[in-house]
Amino acid sequence: MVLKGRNDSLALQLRDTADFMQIIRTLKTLLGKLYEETPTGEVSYRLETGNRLLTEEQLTQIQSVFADFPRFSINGITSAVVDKDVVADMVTGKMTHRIGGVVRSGQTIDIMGDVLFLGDLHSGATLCASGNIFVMGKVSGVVQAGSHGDTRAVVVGDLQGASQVRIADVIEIVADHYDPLKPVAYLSKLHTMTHAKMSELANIRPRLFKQMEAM
Amino acid sequence: MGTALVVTSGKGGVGKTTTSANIGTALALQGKRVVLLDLDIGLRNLDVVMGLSNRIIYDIVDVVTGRAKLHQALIKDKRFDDLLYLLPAAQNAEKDALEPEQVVEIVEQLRPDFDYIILDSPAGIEQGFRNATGAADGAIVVTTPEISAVSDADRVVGLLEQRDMPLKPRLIINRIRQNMLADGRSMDIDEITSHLGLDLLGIIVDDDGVIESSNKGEAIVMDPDDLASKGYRNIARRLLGDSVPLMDIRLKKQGFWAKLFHRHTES
Repeated sequence: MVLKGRNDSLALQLRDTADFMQIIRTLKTLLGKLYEETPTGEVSYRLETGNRLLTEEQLTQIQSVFADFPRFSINGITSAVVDKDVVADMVTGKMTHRIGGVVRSGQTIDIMGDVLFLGDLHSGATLCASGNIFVMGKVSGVVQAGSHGDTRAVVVGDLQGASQVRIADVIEIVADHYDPLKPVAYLSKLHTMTHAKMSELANIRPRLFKQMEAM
Repeated sequence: MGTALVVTSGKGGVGKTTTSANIGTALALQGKRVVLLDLDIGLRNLDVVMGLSNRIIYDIVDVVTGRAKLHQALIKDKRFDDLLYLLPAAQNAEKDALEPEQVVEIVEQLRPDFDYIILDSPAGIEQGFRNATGAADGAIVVTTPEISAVSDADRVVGLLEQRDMPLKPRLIINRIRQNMLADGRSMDIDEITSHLGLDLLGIIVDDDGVIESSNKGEAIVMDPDDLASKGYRNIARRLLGDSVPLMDIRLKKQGFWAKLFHRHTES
């Protein structure tokens, strides 16, 4: 257990090789000593757990130690490692998934991340992605990008014959606005569905291309 | 307060959905406020026939589960200003996602705002049928001049009579083949009507235009010259209380010269 003064806050480093019960005991004595040394004022500590990932139970134990010292609080927990499932979600969420085949009426495809659609989306079917959707196949159904609320998501491709394009919570009936020269659908700063030429995509969403290069 | 009418048949493919769409449209053409309810959960069609499928955002299951308000799920048919609305069925929900009481509640909510509430029943006599009939004040039974359709209609009329609706069920005989009727190879209209013991609301001839207009997402009643369209228009007027004589659908005898030159006379 090491107490460190960072630029703007105090950090408690919990050594990841140490036994957790030992850490709790040390934490108790350390906080007790600090509490006596600083008789007034609120102090908040950041916990740095190194290569250790705190379980829910361990977190409650630490919180209960802090509860004994009302002027002390926890100001966030940082760790050098992350949970496998969280990583898996992060990776799939950043991936571009290739989806093909025939999606029929009543079926819904729901994807975390971007989608490159290389199939047939029939009328009455829905293609949902938390990220962007790039359409190369034929779509007659509903295309929903940014399904978890990402307003930066785009739908790119020929949507002739599609029933609706949706980005985040904005819905548009394609037949009312279809323009074959503008295959990029995105949300403008005013949060309305907007269409643009393919060549404009790099200006509208430059990060889309940077991400691709980085990966 | 609006009247709720269920369109049902027992047998599939006799034209319930086409009839619902056309009666609804014909009533709207007469200036009535109409809402069509598609109760065929999982196999919705009414939106397709009405050409409104690309406007569906919420459906009837979204309404009963509280995901959407009723007014959000209603789709306005722009061709009719403020007269014709559709409440679509869900396409990816379970068939039993809806209970009769929930449909009754929706119909009660719609009643003050509409003159007619048309409930398009799915084929069969199971849950979907119970959902559609449970909320109705009266029924329109659709059949075709085929023994299987008439037999199913008979079963349905029996079930409807147990429900004791305020209005008596009425009959539409659909897809009448004029040439077969002329040859005497088809079941007779009077025979069907008296066998089922219902009042005849109207007859509709089998007409290629009906399929053609459905494919375009338009009701055939929009075409004033079509014979099937006239049939639906007459039905709408009879529903409104007009006394309209049954139209003559007999094929006119072709003259010698017309026959000789294969010229088709207007039927």
